[in-house]
Amino acid sequence: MEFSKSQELHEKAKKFLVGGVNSPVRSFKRVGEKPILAKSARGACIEDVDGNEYLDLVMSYGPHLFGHAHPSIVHAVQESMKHSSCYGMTGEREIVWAEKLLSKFPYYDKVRAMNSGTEACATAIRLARGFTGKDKILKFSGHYHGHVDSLMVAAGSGLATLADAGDTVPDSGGIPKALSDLVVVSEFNNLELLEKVFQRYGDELSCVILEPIMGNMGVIKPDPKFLQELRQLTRTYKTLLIFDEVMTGFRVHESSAQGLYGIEPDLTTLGKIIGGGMPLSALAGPDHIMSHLAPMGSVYQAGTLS
Amino acid sequence: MMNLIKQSDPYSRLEEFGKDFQETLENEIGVARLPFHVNRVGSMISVFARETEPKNDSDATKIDEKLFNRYFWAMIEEGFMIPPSPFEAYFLSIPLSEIPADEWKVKIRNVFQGLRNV
Repeated sequence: MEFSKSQELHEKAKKFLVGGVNSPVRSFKRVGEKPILAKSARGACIEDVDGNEYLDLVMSYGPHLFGHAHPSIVHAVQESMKHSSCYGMTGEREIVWAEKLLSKFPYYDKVRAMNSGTEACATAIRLARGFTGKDKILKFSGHYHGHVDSLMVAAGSGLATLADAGDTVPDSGGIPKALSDLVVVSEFNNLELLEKVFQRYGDELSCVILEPIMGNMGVIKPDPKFLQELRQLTRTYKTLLIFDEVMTGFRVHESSAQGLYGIEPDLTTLGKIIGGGMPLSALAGPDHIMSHLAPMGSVYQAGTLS
Repeated sequence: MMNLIKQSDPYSRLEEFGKDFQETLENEIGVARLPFHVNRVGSMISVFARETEPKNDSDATKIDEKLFNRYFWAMIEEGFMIPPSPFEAYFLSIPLSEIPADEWKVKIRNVFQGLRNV
């Protein structure tokens, strides 16, 4: 196979884009650092700039359930753009969209639209802290919730020994230790450790956020008992349970991973698929929590393009 | 997108296709006697360069990176675009499920037979 055009363009890209990319995995760092650059995609197929064709199993990391450039989605975007890309005011289509989305989550009343999974997860955590009045959060090692400062935390191999929350270390430069000090990290599918974490930190935890099916370390299935016990513990300690379904939402099941495993989280973040590949994300939850968001409540979130 | 999902109910079709795709991978891995493990939920699937199922991130990082690297480029050569990282999921799609099975199954066989013969 010929990749000369990809290599040529990547060299040019490095002059203008950091590392030649706009998202790190596209640098092909793990597989030899010779990235293949995309030219076009339709249906199940993607073509690179050298003219090589592939059956695409990346699908933009999830959103293209119906393949690339599906005619209905292209048509919907074209029709929508005829009325402007955005208003800076509420439009009727937002209301139609919200009603359709919420019909898939009968235990939720409200949704807030945003533009990325990172934004939705950041808002979910802020809302949980504002709602509960507690500052600490619990996440699981290897789970990715966007590049939210306080979630870019790894506990390393020491986590199984139940390190102090203050022992967590930021996983990226530019993140103050003071933020990671508020994050407790546990291990996915480890019920024994989870119970110990709650015994120690449960009263201080505003929320637990997780990918119900791990997707950002490859697909790792949850033990259903783990999810059930997590739901029970979060109720006992009045800690909000947040399912980050940015990847799994409408991907694995019509009612997302939570429907597949029969768990009702307090809040859910969605992304990727709900925008059909366009930059759209959402935070959904019940009235008594969502009403703490601005303009009804004190927890601020805003966005001109939301 | 919400309208498309409502109109076409893609999930049962993707489950059926995902099962066939997973079984094909597992069969060819078995024939080639290579240390890979396939995990799948619905239309999300991953091939780990390790023999046993990972239960958490600690397991997922204990892989044969050299083998993954060879597998990645073998998939590219056979015409599959997969994430350039051992720590990402693959996403199946409705149009992929409509491609004649013989076409993609022979490509998968070629990938693992090629890896076995190196």
